[in-house]
Amino acid sequence: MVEFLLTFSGSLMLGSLLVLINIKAAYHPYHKTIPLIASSLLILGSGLYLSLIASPEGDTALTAMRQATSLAINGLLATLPAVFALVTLMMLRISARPQ
Amino acid sequence: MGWWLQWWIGLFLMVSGFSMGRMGPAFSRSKIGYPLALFGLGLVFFSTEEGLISNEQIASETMRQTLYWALPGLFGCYIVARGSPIYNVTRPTTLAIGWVILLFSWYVLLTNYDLPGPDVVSSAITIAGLIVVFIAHIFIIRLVETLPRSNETIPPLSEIEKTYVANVLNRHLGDRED
Repeated sequence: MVEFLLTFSGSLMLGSLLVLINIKAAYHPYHKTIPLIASSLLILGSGLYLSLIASPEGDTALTAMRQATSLAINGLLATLPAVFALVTLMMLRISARPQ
Repeated sequence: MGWWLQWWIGLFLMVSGFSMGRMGPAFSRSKIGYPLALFGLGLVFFSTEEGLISNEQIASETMRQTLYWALPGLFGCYIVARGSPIYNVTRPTTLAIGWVILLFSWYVLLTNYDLPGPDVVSSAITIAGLIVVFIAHIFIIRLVETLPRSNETIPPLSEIEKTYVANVLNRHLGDRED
Protein backbone atom coordinates (compact mmCIF):
# COMPACT_ATOMS: atom_id res chain seq x y z
CA MET A 1 0.00 0.00 0.00
CA VAL A 2 2.84 2.36 0.92
CA GLU A 3 4.57 1.64 -2.39
CA PHE A 4 1.35 2.37 -4.32
CA LEU A 5 0.98 5.70 -2.52
CA LEU A 6 4.63 6.46 -3.24
CA THR A 7 4.12 5.58 -6.93
CA PHE A 8 1.01 7.76 -7.17
CA SER A 9 2.72 10.71 -5.50
CA GLY A 10 5.70 10.16 -7.80
CA SER A 11 3.50 10.23 -10.87
CA LEU A 12 1.91 13.51 -9.70
CA MET A 13 5.37 15.01 -9.27
CA LEU A 14 6.63 13.55 -12.54
CA GLY A 15 3.65 14.95 -14.47
CA SER A 16 4.09 18.40 -12.90
CA LEU A 17 7.82 18.41 -13.57
CA LEU A 18 7.21 17.45 -17.21
CA VAL A 19 4.77 20.35 -17.57
CA LEU A 20 7.14 22.81 -15.86
CA ILE A 21 10.11 21.76 -18.01
CA ASN A 22 7.98 21.97 -21.15
CA ILE A 23 6.76 25.47 -20.22
CA LYS A 24 10.33 26.65 -19.69
CA ALA A 25 11.81 24.95 -22.78
CA ALA A 26 9.00 25.75 -25.21
CA TYR A 27 8.26 29.26 -23.93
CA HIS A 28 7.10 31.88 -26.39
CA PRO A 29 5.78 35.41 -25.79
CA TYR A 30 2.11 34.49 -26.33
CA HIS A 31 2.08 31.75 -23.69
CA LYS A 32 -0.07 32.43 -20.64
CA THR A 33 2.20 30.52 -18.33
CA ILE A 34 1.45 31.80 -14.83
CA PRO A 35 -1.76 29.76 -14.18
CA LEU A 36 -0.09 26.61 -15.53
CA ILE A 37 3.02 27.17 -13.41
CA ALA A 38 0.85 27.78 -10.34
CA SER A 39 -1.21 24.61 -10.88
CA SER A 40 1.92 22.55 -11.56
CA LEU A 41 3.56 23.79 -8.37
CA LEU A 42 0.36 23.01 -6.46
CA ILE A 43 0.26 19.45 -7.80
CA LEU A 44 4.01 19.10 -7.23
CA GLY A 45 3.52 20.21 -3.61
CA SER A 46 0.65 17.73 -3.12
CA GLY A 47 2.78 14.93 -4.57
CA LEU A 48 5.68 15.88 -2.31
CA TYR A 49 3.40 15.90 0.73
CA LEU A 50 2.02 12.44 -0.16
CA SER A 51 5.52 11.09 -0.74
CA LEU A 52 6.65 12.41 2.64
CA ILE A 53 3.72 10.60 4.28
CA ALA A 54 4.56 7.37 2.46
CA SER A 55 8.33 7.54 2.98
CA PRO A 56 10.08 6.04 6.00
CA GLU A 57 10.56 8.41 8.90
CA GLY A 58 13.78 10.38 8.69
CA ASP A 59 13.78 10.72 4.91
CA THR A 60 14.35 14.27 3.72
CA ALA A 61 11.93 15.89 1.26
CA LEU A 62 14.53 15.53 -1.50
CA THR A 63 15.04 11.81 -0.83
CA ALA A 64 11.28 11.22 -0.69
CA MET A 65 10.87 13.08 -3.97
CA ARG A 66 13.67 11.12 -5.65
CA GLN A 67 12.34 7.77 -4.42
CA ALA A 68 8.76 8.48 -5.49
CA THR A 69 9.57 10.05 -8.86
CA SER A 70 11.98 7.30 -9.87
CA LEU A 71 9.32 4.74 -8.92
CA ALA A 72 6.91 6.53 -11.27
CA ILE A 73 9.56 6.62 -14.03
CA ASN A 74 9.95 2.88 -13.59
CA GLY A 75 6.18 2.41 -13.84
CA LEU A 76 6.09 4.52 -16.98
CA LEU A 77 8.96 2.58 -18.57
CA ALA A 78 7.10 -0.66 -17.86
CA THR A 79 4.25 0.51 -20.12
CA LEU A 80 6.57 0.98 -23.11
CA PRO A 81 6.40 -2.64 -24.39
CA ALA A 82 2.61 -2.28 -24.63
CA VAL A 83 3.03 1.03 -26.46
CA PHE A 84 5.57 -0.61 -28.76
CA ALA A 85 3.10 -3.43 -29.48
CA LEU A 86 0.51 -0.85 -30.55
CA VAL A 87 3.06 0.98 -32.73
CA THR A 88 4.05 -2.32 -34.35
CA LEU A 89 0.39 -3.00 -35.18
CA MET A 90 0.19 0.45 -36.76
CA MET A 91 3.31 -0.32 -38.79
CA LEU A 92 1.73 -3.58 -39.91
CA ARG A 93 -1.35 -1.66 -40.99
CA ILE A 94 0.56 0.94 -43.03
CA SER A 95 2.76 -1.76 -44.58
CA ALA A 96 -0.27 -3.69 -45.82
CA ARG A 97 -2.10 -0.56 -46.99
CA PRO A 98 -3.76 -1.15 -50.39
CA GLN A 99 -2.32 0.98 -53.18
CA MET B 1 28.45 16.22 -6.56
CA GLY B 2 26.76 12.83 -6.57
CA TRP B 3 26.15 10.90 -9.77
CA TRP B 4 22.44 11.06 -9.04
CA LEU B 5 22.47 14.71 -10.04
CA GLN B 6 23.94 13.79 -13.44
CA TRP B 7 21.17 11.21 -13.86
CA TRP B 8 18.41 13.72 -13.10
CA ILE B 9 20.00 16.50 -15.17
CA GLY B 10 20.18 14.03 -18.06
CA LEU B 11 16.48 13.26 -17.71
CA PHE B 12 15.56 16.94 -17.56
CA LEU B 13 17.71 17.68 -20.63
CA MET B 14 15.97 14.87 -22.52
CA VAL B 15 12.55 16.38 -21.79
CA SER B 16 13.76 19.95 -22.48
CA GLY B 17 15.36 18.89 -25.76
CA PHE B 18 12.25 17.06 -26.89
CA SER B 19 10.10 20.10 -26.00
CA MET B 20 12.42 22.42 -27.93
CA GLY B 21 12.67 20.04 -30.90
CA ARG B 22 8.89 19.98 -31.24
CA MET B 23 8.79 23.78 -31.68
CA GLY B 24 8.46 25.08 -35.21
CA PRO B 25 11.32 26.40 -37.36
CA ALA B 26 10.40 29.96 -36.35
CA PHE B 27 12.11 29.29 -33.03
CA SER B 28 15.88 29.01 -33.41
CA ARG B 29 16.13 26.84 -30.29
CA SER B 30 14.25 24.07 -32.13
CA LYS B 31 17.52 23.35 -33.95
CA ILE B 32 19.33 22.40 -30.74
CA GLY B 33 16.35 20.48 -29.34
CA TYR B 34 17.07 16.93 -30.46
CA PRO B 35 20.87 17.18 -30.04
CA LEU B 36 20.19 18.39 -26.48
CA ALA B 37 17.85 15.43 -25.89
CA LEU B 38 20.55 13.06 -27.18
CA PHE B 39 23.10 14.67 -24.87
CA GLY B 40 20.68 14.15 -21.96
CA LEU B 41 20.21 10.54 -23.00
CA GLY B 42 24.01 10.12 -22.98
CA LEU B 43 24.24 11.60 -19.48
CA VAL B 44 21.60 9.15 -18.26
CA PHE B 45 23.04 6.15 -20.09
CA PHE B 46 26.62 6.71 -18.96
CA SER B 47 25.91 7.68 -15.35
CA THR B 48 27.19 5.20 -12.79
CA GLU B 49 24.94 3.78 -10.10
CA GLU B 50 27.16 5.28 -7.41
CA GLY B 51 25.06 7.64 -5.31
CA LEU B 52 21.73 6.54 -6.78
CA ILE B 53 19.15 5.44 -4.22
CA SER B 54 17.37 2.09 -4.61
CA ASN B 55 14.46 3.17 -6.82
CA GLU B 56 16.74 5.33 -8.98
CA GLN B 57 19.02 2.33 -9.53
CA ILE B 58 16.05 0.22 -10.66
CA ALA B 59 14.79 3.01 -12.94
CA SER B 60 18.28 3.55 -14.36
CA GLU B 61 18.72 -0.16 -15.09
CA THR B 62 15.21 -0.39 -16.62
CA MET B 63 15.98 2.61 -18.79
CA ARG B 64 19.17 0.97 -20.05
CA GLN B 65 17.32 -2.28 -20.77
CA THR B 66 14.60 -0.29 -22.56
CA LEU B 67 17.10 1.54 -24.75
CA TYR B 68 18.52 -1.76 -26.06
CA TRP B 69 15.22 -2.61 -27.76
CA ALA B 70 13.62 0.84 -28.08
CA LEU B 71 16.42 2.36 -30.20
CA PRO B 72 16.35 -0.36 -32.91
CA GLY B 73 12.56 -0.36 -32.56
CA LEU B 74 12.30 3.37 -33.28
CA PHE B 75 14.76 3.09 -36.16
CA GLY B 76 12.85 0.10 -37.57
CA CYS B 77 9.56 2.03 -37.39
CA TYR B 78 11.17 4.94 -39.24
CA ILE B 79 12.46 2.63 -41.99
CA VAL B 80 9.10 0.83 -42.26
CA ALA B 81 7.31 4.18 -42.54
CA ARG B 82 9.74 5.21 -45.30
CA GLY B 83 9.22 1.98 -47.20
CA SER B 84 5.45 1.65 -46.82
CA PRO B 85 3.21 2.47 -49.79
CA ILE B 86 2.52 6.20 -50.07
CA TYR B 87 0.88 7.74 -53.14
CA ASN B 88 1.25 4.46 -55.07
CA VAL B 89 5.01 4.37 -54.48
CA THR B 90 6.29 1.30 -52.61
CA ARG B 91 9.88 0.55 -51.63
CA PRO B 92 9.79 -3.19 -50.89
CA THR B 93 13.51 -3.44 -50.02
CA THR B 94 13.30 -0.57 -47.51
CA LEU B 95 10.11 -2.06 -46.09
CA ALA B 96 11.74 -5.48 -45.67
CA ILE B 97 14.84 -3.96 -43.99
CA GLY B 98 12.56 -1.99 -41.66
CA TRP B 99 10.68 -5.13 -40.65
CA VAL B 100 13.90 -7.05 -40.04
CA ILE B 101 15.07 -4.28 -37.66
CA LEU B 102 11.64 -4.17 -36.02
CA LEU B 103 11.59 -7.94 -35.51
CA PHE B 104 15.12 -7.78 -34.12
CA SER B 105 14.00 -5.23 -31.52
CA TRP B 106 11.08 -7.52 -30.58
CA TYR B 107 13.55 -10.39 -30.21
CA VAL B 108 15.72 -8.27 -27.87
CA LEU B 109 12.63 -7.19 -25.92
CA LEU B 110 11.20 -10.69 -25.50
CA THR B 111 14.51 -12.25 -24.47
CA ASN B 112 15.16 -9.60 -21.80
CA TYR B 113 11.69 -8.72 -20.54
CA ASP B 114 9.34 -10.67 -18.25
CA LEU B 115 5.76 -10.46 -19.47
CA PRO B 116 3.62 -9.47 -17.55
CA GLY B 117 5.75 -8.50 -14.55
CA PRO B 118 4.79 -7.15 -11.13
CA ASP B 119 5.09 -3.68 -12.62
CA VAL B 120 1.56 -3.85 -14.08
CA VAL B 121 -0.11 -2.38 -10.97
CA SER B 122 2.67 0.17 -10.58
CA SER B 123 2.26 1.16 -14.26
CA ALA B 124 -1.51 1.49 -13.86
CA ILE B 125 -1.05 3.75 -10.82
CA THR B 126 1.54 5.84 -12.67
CA ILE B 127 -0.78 6.27 -15.65
CA ALA B 128 -3.64 7.19 -13.27
CA GLY B 129 -1.47 9.86 -11.64
CA LEU B 130 -0.39 11.28 -14.99
CA ILE B 131 -4.04 11.36 -16.13
CA VAL B 132 -4.93 13.34 -12.98
CA VAL B 133 -2.19 15.88 -13.82
CA PHE B 134 -3.32 15.96 -17.46
CA ILE B 135 -6.99 16.58 -16.55
CA ALA B 136 -6.01 19.30 -14.05
CA HIS B 137 -3.97 21.08 -16.73
CA ILE B 138 -6.67 20.75 -19.38
CA PHE B 139 -9.06 22.36 -16.90
CA ILE B 140 -6.59 25.21 -16.20
CA ILE B 141 -5.92 25.77 -19.92
CA ARG B 142 -9.65 25.94 -20.63
CA LEU B 143 -10.07 28.40 -17.79
CA VAL B 144 -7.20 30.58 -19.03
CA GLU B 145 -8.48 30.54 -22.60
CA THR B 146 -11.92 31.77 -21.48
CA LEU B 147 -10.40 34.79 -19.72
CA PRO B 148 -10.77 38.07 -21.62
CA ARG B 149 -7.87 38.82 -23.95
CA SER B 150 -5.70 41.85 -23.40
CA ASN B 151 -5.96 44.79 -25.79
CA GLU B 152 -2.25 44.61 -26.52
CA THR B 153 -1.53 45.06 -30.23
CA ILE B 154 0.59 42.35 -31.80
CA PRO B 155 3.56 43.93 -33.64
CA PRO B 156 3.75 43.37 -37.42
CA LEU B 157 6.23 40.90 -38.96
CA SER B 158 9.83 42.06 -39.12
CA GLU B 159 11.64 42.18 -42.49
CA ILE B 160 13.43 38.88 -41.73
CA GLU B 161 10.12 37.21 -40.84
CA LYS B 162 8.48 38.58 -44.01
CA THR B 163 11.32 37.23 -46.16
CA TYR B 164 11.08 33.86 -44.41
CA VAL B 165 7.30 33.58 -44.93
CA ALA B 166 7.66 34.66 -48.59
CA ASN B 167 10.36 32.02 -49.12
CA VAL B 168 8.25 29.27 -47.56
CA LEU B 169 5.22 30.24 -49.68
CA ASN B 170 7.33 30.43 -52.85
CA ARG B 171 8.87 27.06 -52.12
CA HIS B 172 5.48 25.39 -51.68
CA LEU B 173 3.31 27.29 -54.11
CA GLY B 174 5.83 28.62 -56.64
CA ASP B 175 5.60 25.59 -58.93
CA ARG B 176 1.81 25.64 -59.09
CA GLU B 177 0.50 26.96 -62.35
CA ASP B 178 -2.99 27.88 -61.11
